[in-house]
Amino acid sequence: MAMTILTNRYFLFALRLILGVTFIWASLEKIAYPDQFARIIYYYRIVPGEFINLTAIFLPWLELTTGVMLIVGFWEKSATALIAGMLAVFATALAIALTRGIDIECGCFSTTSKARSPVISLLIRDVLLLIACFIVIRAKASWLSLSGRFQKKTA
Amino acid sequence: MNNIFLRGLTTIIIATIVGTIANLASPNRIEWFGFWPNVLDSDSVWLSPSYEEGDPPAIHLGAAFDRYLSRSYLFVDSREPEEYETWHIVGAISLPFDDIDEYWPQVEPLMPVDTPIVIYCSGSECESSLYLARYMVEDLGYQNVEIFFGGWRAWYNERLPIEGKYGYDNSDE
Repeated sequence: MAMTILTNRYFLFALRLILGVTFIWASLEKIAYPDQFARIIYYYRIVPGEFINLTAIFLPWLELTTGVMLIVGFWEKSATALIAGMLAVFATALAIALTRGIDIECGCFSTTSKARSPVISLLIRDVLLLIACFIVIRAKASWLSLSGRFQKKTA
Repeated sequence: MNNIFLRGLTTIIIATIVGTIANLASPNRIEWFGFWPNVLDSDSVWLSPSYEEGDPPAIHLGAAFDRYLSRSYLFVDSREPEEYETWHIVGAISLPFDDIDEYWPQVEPLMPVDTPIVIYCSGSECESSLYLARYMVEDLGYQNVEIFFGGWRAWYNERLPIEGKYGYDNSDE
């Protein structure tokens, strides 16, 4: 039963949508306010000072690009692998923040601290999204995907 | 697998190119390499010459910043009231050691005796934070008091969040 759901094309498409929309949404405010996002990265104190601005400039665009690719189904496995990599890095950063006892805004969806969530709940959310990534990567075929259409045409 | 890797790499390159163009064109563009000092991780602690064994613990800038971010510590500014009014660490309260009798009735309700407290003054050369910490521990019974000898100067130099009569600066709010 569980395996049937995990291979169900509608379920897999829903996971792609959830992951894609999440990452597109997460990228928008960071793209608009890279200076504030850079400050949040600085507060995590994980990225060396020389690379903070570069991370703040490029990471949101990688989030946006992979989110769009996942929704339209273009190279979706590669996009999902990249998203999984980013989620793993975010989860590590949050875990380090948790062990240091600091309460910083996560910088996940907003560059302001208006909507602050406990670090532990952010970690749980990251882990759930990571699980969704693995389900999408393991799926054999994608429904409603550009890559699938290209393959059919070239076959 | 090879395909996934190559496509992933291509995706990163595309995102990098788009990000570069966007940062060049954006009205909110930032420097490619900003000023983000790494001294927050320094373990060195500035100590006042009058600091003695048995005094409340002294903490370095990185530890002070962690306590600031934890939002569970109360920062106490022991400098002159005019200095505090101009700029101070975000959220800090003013308790000038020289005027403690005058200020104490106002601040006492804000700091129950079990409150974790970080006291600072102007910098390593000032001693009001040390005297205030000693007084709070020995005479008022506070148990969780730490001294940030780097003080205002170290905090300001690292562009950490401050507020005052001119508004906010370097703030994460």
